[in-house]
This record gives sequence, structure tokens and C-alpha cells, in this order.
Amino acid sequence: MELFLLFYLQLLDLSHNKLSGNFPSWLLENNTKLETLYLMNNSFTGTLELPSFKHGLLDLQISNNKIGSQLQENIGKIFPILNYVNLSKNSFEGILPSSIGEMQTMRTMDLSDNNFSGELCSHFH
Amino acid sequence: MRLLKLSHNSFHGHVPLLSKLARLRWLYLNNNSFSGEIEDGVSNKSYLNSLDISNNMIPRWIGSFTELSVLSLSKNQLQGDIPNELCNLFSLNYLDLSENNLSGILPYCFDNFKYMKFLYLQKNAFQGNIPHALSQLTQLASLDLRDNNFFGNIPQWINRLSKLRVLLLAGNKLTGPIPIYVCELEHVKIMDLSHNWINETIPSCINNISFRMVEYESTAIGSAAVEYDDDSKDKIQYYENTAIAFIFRMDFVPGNTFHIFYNSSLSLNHPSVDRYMISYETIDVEFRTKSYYLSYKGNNLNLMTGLDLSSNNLSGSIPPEIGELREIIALNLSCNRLSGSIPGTFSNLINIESLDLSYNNLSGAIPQNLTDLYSLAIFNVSYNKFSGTIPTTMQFANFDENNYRGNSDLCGSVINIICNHTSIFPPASTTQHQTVVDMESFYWSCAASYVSVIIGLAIILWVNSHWCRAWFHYVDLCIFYCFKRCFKNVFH
Repeated sequence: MELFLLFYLQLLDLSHNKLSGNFPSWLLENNTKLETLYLMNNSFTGTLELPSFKHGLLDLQISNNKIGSQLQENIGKIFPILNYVNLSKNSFEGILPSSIGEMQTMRTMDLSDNNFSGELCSHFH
Repeated sequence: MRLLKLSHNSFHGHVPLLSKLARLRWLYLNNNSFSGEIEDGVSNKSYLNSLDISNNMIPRWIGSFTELSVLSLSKNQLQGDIPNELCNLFSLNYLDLSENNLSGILPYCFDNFKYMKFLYLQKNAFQGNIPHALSQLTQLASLDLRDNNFFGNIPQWINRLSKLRVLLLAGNKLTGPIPIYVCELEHVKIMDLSHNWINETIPSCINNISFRMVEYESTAIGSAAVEYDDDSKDKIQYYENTAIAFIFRMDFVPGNTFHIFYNSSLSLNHPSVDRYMISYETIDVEFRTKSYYLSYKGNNLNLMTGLDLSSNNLSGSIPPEIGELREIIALNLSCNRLSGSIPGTFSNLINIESLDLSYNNLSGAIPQNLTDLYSLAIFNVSYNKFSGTIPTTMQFANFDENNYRGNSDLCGSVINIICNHTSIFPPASTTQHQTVVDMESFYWSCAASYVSVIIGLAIILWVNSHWCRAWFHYVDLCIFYCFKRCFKNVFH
């Protein structure tokens, strides 16, 4: 909980641990300067709740957890400069938000091994 | 975007392609439920380096990805001929069209694929001769044409594929002999020509083929996602810390600089490393050993060697030169018309685990020195004309009677048939049992002959009255003289 106070935090790597509980969305909410967040290979559950404002995150890797439900529709607007995202091996489901197509700086997107469904027609045109 | 991986989800509908993503180079859509055609937008993606849409949908054309090096369309419902446009992909080094319903003859333009290393066309309905165009694919390491309708001879130009390591032509309608040119494929380690109509003899030059295990040979493909990517940040992201040390260690293995990043042993030793192409596009090869097909990949493939010539019309004797294939692990010559005996050289096959010679016309004894083959786990000589004693020591203690069925002249404790005295080592424990059997049959035959003499006599007497009277007269005389002598002795 001390992480609340690190206003200038840019990189946080807690990967390959046994952390559990809900996905710590407050990390993004409270650390507005955070650019890199690595939480892969833990046991986080819950949903990927996005901050309520436009966030400068560049690199988000949360693969191999148990984070689920649908991606929020405005993800492309909240993370406009995200360029690496890895959500693989989680429990995400439902359709992809169309705002994903707006993430101009995206270089690598790995959504494999989830339960995403639906069509992709409008996303990448 | 450079890399988009949506594999193993439940996306459906048309493939979204992808006009915004002009710089896309790696696209993975496999194991979803996409259907329909690839939209035109994709045709601008000439930078695309790897495209995996296997297990998915029905793509009609592919031809404009001229930089594509990997194309996997396996396990779809693809029908019809291969379009000539495919040949525009002259950079391909991995093409997998297996397990579709493709038919027709292979396009002549297949000779475009100068860089092709892995060609998988198995389990389709291709027909025609094995096309001459394939003779130009001189980089081929792995050729799988199994379970199609190819006919004609095994081509003589096969020797031009001098880098071939895996040659799988099983399950076609190939005829004619095994050409001696096959023997020039000295690097081949797995060869499956089974289930064809190949005839004549097994060429004795077959020992020119190495059937040798290899260590540290990369069987993986995917071309160089990292080597060509100038962005060092991506490089680190693709390969997490655990892998990097290993990757660089691999670098020092001589002759193994190409594609080292995807070395298959990586995926075996570091199952936790699951980054894009490392464990992803490793080659696997199906081969039958120990009577079922297994899929070999990675280091297991490196260590597997085998020759399967079963279910053909091969005749003549087994060339003793096969005994020189010291590293072979599986040898299957079953279901042919081979004659002669098992060459004594077979005792040199010190790595062999599976030896199947069943359903042939082989004769002679099972060489006792085969007991030197310590690795042997499967040994089947059933339905031949073997004779003599079955070895029972060492590995041979494990093989039950099913492996010897249909050989009327074999003997030994395994099949409960006693060897006669000419055998070299008569089993001592059963000698007593042997005499009991003989006496029993002796008693029975005595009784039978006694009964038949009585019956014959009665019939003769009944048929011929003259003999009958003479016989009883004689009997009367005998009784009379007997009584007379008896009375004489008693009353004298």
C-alpha cells in the first residue's frame, strides 16, 4: 500500500511472484507517471479496471494471471500511447473494444489464450 | 503495429484485414473460428513475415505476400488445386498445407521455392507423379507427402535433395523399385516409404544413408524475428531473462548460428519461456515406431532415426548392409514378400528399439546373437517361415508368443513347443515331460491296433463262411488238444 505514495514511479515489475487478489487498478489511478507495468505470472483475479483519465502507460504485461471479464470499451482512449500489451493466458472474454483500433502507437499486441469472441471487422480498418 | 497475436480465442467471422496495419510483420490468428475469405486489405501487407492462420478458415489466395517465409494453412477445409499464385512467395522456407482436401497435381512453378526447407503436404488428395519441380528445392530438409494419391516411381532425381533429413512418402500409390539414387541422401535420418506398391529388392547401398542422430540441430523455423528487428526493446521483450542466457550459450555450438533463437531444445528446457516464436514454430514429424505413430519434435526429433518400408511388395532377401545402420532406432520391413534369413549383421544394430519383420517369407533361424541388442523393446517375426530355437535370454525374455505366431517350425519355451534333439541347447527341464508324452501315445496306438485287428477278424469271419468254419474248426482243435493235455497232466 506504500506504493500509493510513489508519485514519480515510472516502472513497476512485480512479475513472477505469487501475488493474488484483485488486479491492482489503483496503481494506475494513483501513479500517473507510470510507463511500464509488469505483473505477469502472478495470481491476480478480478477485472482490468482502467483509470478514469488519460494515462501515459507504454508497456502493460499482465499475462498468465486470472484476470477476466470484458475489456472496457474506452481502453484505446485511456491508453493512447500504449505500444506493447500482453494480456495472454488470462480469462478475458467478450468482444474486443473497437477503440483498440485507435491505438496508433501500438507495436505488439498479444491477446492469445483467452476467451475473446465476436468478429473483428471494424477494429483494424 | 508489428505483431498481432490473437491465437487460441473464439473469434469468428471474416478475417479483419487490416488496412491500418501497414507495418504488420507477424500475424497469428490460429486456433480461432474465422471463416470466409481474406479481404483485399491484406494484400498490401507485403512486409508480412509470418502468417499463421492454421486451424481456421478458407483462404483463397495468398500470392501477394512476397516476403512471407512461413505459411501454415494446415487443418482447414481447403479444396481444389493449389493456385499458381502461391509460387509468388519465393521466400518461403516453411510451407504447411497438410490435412486439407487439396487435390490435383502440384503446380510446375513449385520450382520457385529455392529457399524451401520444410514442405508439408501430407493428408490431402494430391495426385500425379511426384513432380519434377520438387527437384529444384535443393535446400529441403523435410519432405512430407504422406497419405495422398501420388503414383509412379520414386523419382531418380531424389538425390538432388541432398540436404534432406526427413523423407516421408508413405500411404501413396508409388510403384517400381526403390531407386539406388535414394542411397545418395546420406543425411536422411527418418524415412517412411510404407503403404505403397513398391516392389523389387531393398537396395544394398542403403547403408550409405546415415540414419544418424544429431545433437543440437535446430529444427525450428520462423525466420529471424529478432535478427532482423532493429528495435532492441522488442528483442528483450520477446526473450525474457531466463531464456537469454541459454540463447547465447547456443550461439557457441559450431555450425548452429542459423535460427538459433528458435532452437527447439529451448522449448523443452524452458517450458516457462513462452514468447512468440521460440517454442512456437518448431517442426514436428510423425513417424511410426513400436506400432503406433508418434509425433517427434525438438530434441526428440534430433534423436529419432528410423526406416519404415512396411506394406509394400518388396521381395528378395534383406541386404546384410542394413546391419551397418548402427544408429537406427526403428526398422520396419513387415508386410512384404521378403525371403531368405535375418542377416547375422543385425546384431550390430546396437541402438535399435523396434524391429518388425512380420508377414514376410523369411526363413532360417533367429540369430542367437540378436540377444546382444540391449535396447530392443519390440521384436516381431510373426507369420514367416522361421525355424529353430527362439532365443530366450536378455531382451528376448520380454517377447511373448504373439511375436512368433505363424511360424510352424519355430520351437522354444516361449511358444510351448519342444525343440527336438538336434537343437543346440535342448531345454533340460522338459526332458522328463517329453518321455511321458511318448509313452502315452504308444499306449493309445497299441490299444487302437488291438481293437482294429479284432474287428477285422470278426468281419472276415462273418463275410466268408468257409473261412469261418475252418477257423472255428481250428479253434475246436486247439481247445481239444489243450483240454487233452490238461487232463493228461492232472490225472496222470
